[in-house]
Amino acid sequence: MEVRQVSLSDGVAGLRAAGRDPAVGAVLVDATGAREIDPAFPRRLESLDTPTVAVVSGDCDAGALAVLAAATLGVVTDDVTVTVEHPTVLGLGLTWSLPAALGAVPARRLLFAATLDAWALRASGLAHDGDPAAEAARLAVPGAALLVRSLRVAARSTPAQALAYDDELRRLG
Amino acid sequence: MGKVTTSHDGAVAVLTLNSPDNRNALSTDLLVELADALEELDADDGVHAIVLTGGPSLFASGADVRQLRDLSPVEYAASPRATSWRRIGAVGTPVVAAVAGVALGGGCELALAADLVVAADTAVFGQPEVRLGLVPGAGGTQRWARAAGRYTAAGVVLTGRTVDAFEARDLGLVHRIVPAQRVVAAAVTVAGQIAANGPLAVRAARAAVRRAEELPLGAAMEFERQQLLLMLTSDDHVEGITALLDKRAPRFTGR
Repeated sequence: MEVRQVSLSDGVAGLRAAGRDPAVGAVLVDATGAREIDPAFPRRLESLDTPTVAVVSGDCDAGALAVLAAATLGVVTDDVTVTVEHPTVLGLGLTWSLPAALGAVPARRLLFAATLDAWALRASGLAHDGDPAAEAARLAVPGAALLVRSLRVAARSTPAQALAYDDELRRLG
Repeated sequence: MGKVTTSHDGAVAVLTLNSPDNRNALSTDLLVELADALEELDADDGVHAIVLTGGPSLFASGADVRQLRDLSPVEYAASPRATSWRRIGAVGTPVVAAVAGVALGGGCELALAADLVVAADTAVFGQPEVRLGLVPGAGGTQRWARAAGRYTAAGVVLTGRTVDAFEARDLGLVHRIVPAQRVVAAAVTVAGQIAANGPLAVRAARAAVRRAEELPLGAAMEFERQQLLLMLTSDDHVEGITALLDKRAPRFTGR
């Protein structure tokens, strides 16, 4: 299955189109220089049934954190700088999504940092330093898509409910 | 081809709304066909539970708004729409709704008319009627209030906001959440669990549960006691208890 590249300028429509194309096995999101992003973009990214890899580089605001938290896997390049300011944090729901993704204390380290470099982002666990294209190619398999769906449902379920969902999901694989 | 198709899986019947051209809008034709099909299955002794679904993409998008726009109150009252909804509500066989995608307006009322809802994680419930200058007319205001409480009902019915499968499960409306492609199969599994029980007992228990919405507690408890007395006259309860004591599966006859 193919990897579809979607940039921030393709917007929600680009993500939607990738999600609807049965040939697309994974989506590689280029979030270079993420600033004042559409809040619907990370929401749509998170709702895709296909695995996603986000790569963030350059000078970004906290929207980069939202994209990284919404993707299946996040990668940052060495030159990335993220400026964290409260209007973006609050506008993108990061006080909910970052603690959910990382745990409360690591999330606070990011949210109160003012600026974050590649080392801090990788140390937090929100991103790593792999090859984004290779990661996306690795995730472009049906099994990875099932895990993405399972994880999204599990986040809003009790253990028993999640297991019952997975019992049905396994029959699709 | 009809707008409602029926298939059978043992003692479970599956009714599928099949009007993809208008996203299963509940036209008068479709409602009449649905009521006919439900009544026919309800009268069939071989059918112990019914799954009602729109398939893995969507359940039902609501009333056929073009039809509604052109109806006068007198015409509405005289049309088969209102009668169809009453006939749908009068079915005594347990109904499991299998909901994927939108169940809005009349589609949501149809889902909430069922005894249980199995939902896909894609399911969306809501009563957007007020956005069109209408109100729900087939139980939307009442079923939401009774299932989820008056304040939740007000949020849904007065703002027209939608509720996803997870919130609906938290509110108690949804029995199980499954992948969309498995929603019909999972509902058939649940319906099969119901159908495996004593059919007289299931119908009586269902009727008693429904009384929880319709009668004061004392009268409903009295109804429940009467159902138990009725069961004590049945062959099925003798068979059920004997099978339990003999450590074997019961063979119910519905008598």
